[in-house]
Amino acid sequence: MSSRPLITFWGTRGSIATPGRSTEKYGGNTSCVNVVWGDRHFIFDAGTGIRGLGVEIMAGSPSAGKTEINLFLSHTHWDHIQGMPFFQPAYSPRFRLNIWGQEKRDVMLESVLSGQMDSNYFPVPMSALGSDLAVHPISADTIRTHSCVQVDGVQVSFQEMDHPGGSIAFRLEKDGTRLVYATDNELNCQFDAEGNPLPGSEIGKAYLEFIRGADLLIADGQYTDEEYRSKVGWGHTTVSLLSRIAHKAGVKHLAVYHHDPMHTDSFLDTLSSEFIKRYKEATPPMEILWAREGLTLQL
Amino acid sequence: MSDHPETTDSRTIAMSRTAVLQGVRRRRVAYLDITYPDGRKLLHKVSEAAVIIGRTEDNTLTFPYSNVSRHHAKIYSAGEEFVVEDTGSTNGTYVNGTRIAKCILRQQDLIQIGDTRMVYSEREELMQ
Repeated sequence: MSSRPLITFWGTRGSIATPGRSTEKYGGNTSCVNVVWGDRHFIFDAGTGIRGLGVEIMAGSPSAGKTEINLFLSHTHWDHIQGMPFFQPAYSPRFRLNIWGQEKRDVMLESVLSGQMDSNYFPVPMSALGSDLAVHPISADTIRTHSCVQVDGVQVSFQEMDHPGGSIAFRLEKDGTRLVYATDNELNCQFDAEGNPLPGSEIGKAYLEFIRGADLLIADGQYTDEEYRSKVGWGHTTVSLLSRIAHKAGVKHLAVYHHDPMHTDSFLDTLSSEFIKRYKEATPPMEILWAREGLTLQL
Repeated sequence: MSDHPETTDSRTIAMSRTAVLQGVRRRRVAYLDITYPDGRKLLHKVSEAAVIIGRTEDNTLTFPYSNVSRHHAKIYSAGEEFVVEDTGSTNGTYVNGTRIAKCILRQQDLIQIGDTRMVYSEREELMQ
């Protein structure tokens, strides 16, 4: 297994898909990131971006034997699961699909996923999926105690975040490389303006440690400071606070993710240039990039 | 009264737009507006064959500089889009300042290989 993962953004938009000319550069598909580590797929979220990823996986996988895919769901809001019924490998017996996600207190993860394939919403039921499908609920205890699991030789750990209905972050580690996927998280309710956890904020303190020293942090930076004032409690973070916290935690590369549907390419170009410059000149410098569909990075 | 009498001799042909465009197909073509480290400029059209970029003469585009790998990157069409991919270079391929392994290109993307800069653009061309 290669020690250098490849990370591809298949969907970078938050809340709802926003196709069109004004979002062509950064992309209109909702949340989906694929990490290829060796010959294994670690997919984060199944927003509409997972459809295109599925097409590529189908074309590139061997026709004999089973290809193993791990899909990690931060939570089950629409923009993170809506592409699942269009993910072609889920229908093919050539694949084993492991779905990892948080078990809610009173709702089974599997029932949430099958619910969106109910005939009221979609013509094909979940029972028709022909892959070798396994749902792995992540218990509240596993998250709270920061237990980790080994998935195909990669250590995966979890962190609770601040989002209506809940959301979890994932950290992948292998051979000293650390990658964190943390979207749908209102850091503004857990940190002060300087990027320090608020007194009594267990989530804030734990988050800071969770992302510490990450080679790549992919994180929700949906709002500007001005926009956030009217969106408190909606479960998303400002770019300014996200970047301050990431810098404080010694993150090497920050990918701002989950772009607001109202943010056009030109808006994001302007916004990003300000922060890229600011953190390039910081001590120590930190590289910030704005996630865009079709971009592949190698750590 | 026009100062350019030759331009006034225009006539309307009784032919529909559909008929004019019959048999005409469109294709997307891409251009690289290259600026070399010494300031020289070159406009390179990206055809359907991949553009291989590197330090040695066997590349489509040769950048003969020590900070460029022998075979550094390639740009190719993938369906309706064009992609730049680093082919294992030492010093990296950058798009808008970010070191990439691969990236689907969009209008006005700035690709940097060593000290050579390329601005990517694309447009549709009519073909018979």
